[in-house]
Amino acid sequence: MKNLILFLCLLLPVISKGNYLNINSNPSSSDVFVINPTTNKRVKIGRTPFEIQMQEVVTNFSESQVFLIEVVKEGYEDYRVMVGQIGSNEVNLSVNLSPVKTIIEQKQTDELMAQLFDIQRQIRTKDYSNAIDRLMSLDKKFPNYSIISELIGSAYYLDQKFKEALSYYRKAFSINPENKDAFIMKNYLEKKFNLTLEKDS
Amino acid sequence: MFYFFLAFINETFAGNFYHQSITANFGLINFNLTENASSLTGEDTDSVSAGGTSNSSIFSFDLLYEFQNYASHSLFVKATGPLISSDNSGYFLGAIGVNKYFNSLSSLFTFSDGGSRMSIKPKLRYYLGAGFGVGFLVYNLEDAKKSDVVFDIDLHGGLSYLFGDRWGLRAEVGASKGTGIATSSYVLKGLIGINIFLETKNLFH
Repeated sequence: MKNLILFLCLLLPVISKGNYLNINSNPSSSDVFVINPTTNKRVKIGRTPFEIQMQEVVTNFSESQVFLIEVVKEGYEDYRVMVGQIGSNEVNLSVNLSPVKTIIEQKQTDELMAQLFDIQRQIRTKDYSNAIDRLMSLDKKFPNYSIISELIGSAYYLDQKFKEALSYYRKAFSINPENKDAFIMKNYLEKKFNLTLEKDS
Repeated sequence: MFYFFLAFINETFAGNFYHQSITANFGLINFNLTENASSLTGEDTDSVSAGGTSNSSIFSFDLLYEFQNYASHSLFVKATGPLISSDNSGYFLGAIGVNKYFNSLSSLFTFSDGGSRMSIKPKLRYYLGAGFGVGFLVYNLEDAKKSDVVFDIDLHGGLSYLFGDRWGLRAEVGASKGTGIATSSYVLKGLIGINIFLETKNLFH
């Protein structure tokens, strides 16, 4: 029993060591800042992946036991988290940065354009049924794009289904009254078949 | 972002951030007991029967499950049983108690938010604790082998060091007082073992 207690006393100074703050981010090479929550002093301390002793952050950068960590990268939303030095703890932070909204919207529009080009090719090869199916699922995903409804209308028109074509041209025009092609086709079909909204009902 | 910080700075706030842990300890348990005078029985001899005492050291196994953790303390249940004894005596115990941690969080803390994740691993923890339980003693007298059920109150202290991501070593010493139907005992313990943080988190939020 005495030997066990002696062993524990000897072990204490050997295993006591500094605590680390490890920061990783996706994407990597993001800038890491430390902010003092009281004075708002903001200091850059490195780039991810990054490891630093907690005591060094408190002594040299934050000047406070409790501080904010900010991870910043261009094109992505900033990430902030509050961290404190509480005893012998190792802090591991793995940050997943979110792209700013405009970049997300640009990527989605780019994807939509690529699909529309492909669907137009399908329409030119007279594969109207599959083209319309694809356009319907795109319409659910992007309900505010009048071009999709207009293209559905065009596919139905080329497939000689004029009533369905008219309904989609009307929808395209209602989404975007400045869509000239949808407006022209809507008016043409209404005159050709002598249809108006009042007569339809 | 401040919500999780509240969890590890507020001692009474458990939330769903702290992981449960399990510790398997091995070590020496030494008990010293005296039979209560009112329950003494002796053979029919000419001399007056003397009170029975017993002293035994048992190499034991101890399993500790910390099911509810807060920033600086934890609630546990534990079970102790004998492995090797030179005189076939035994010390069994089931107890519940609390550990108070110093120098670090009581347990592994993890927090996830929208794909980002923070974990705080307590590297070096010292602790003091107290427990209350029911035990079963098997002891030997000069002329008899007996057993008794005891109510045990213990105080203990130790330290734990995290070597890996989820596991570490733990060492503990303790003393307890047992009051039984037929006996009164003092127990000293010295244990060393492995502590593992589980994937599961606090039982109560």
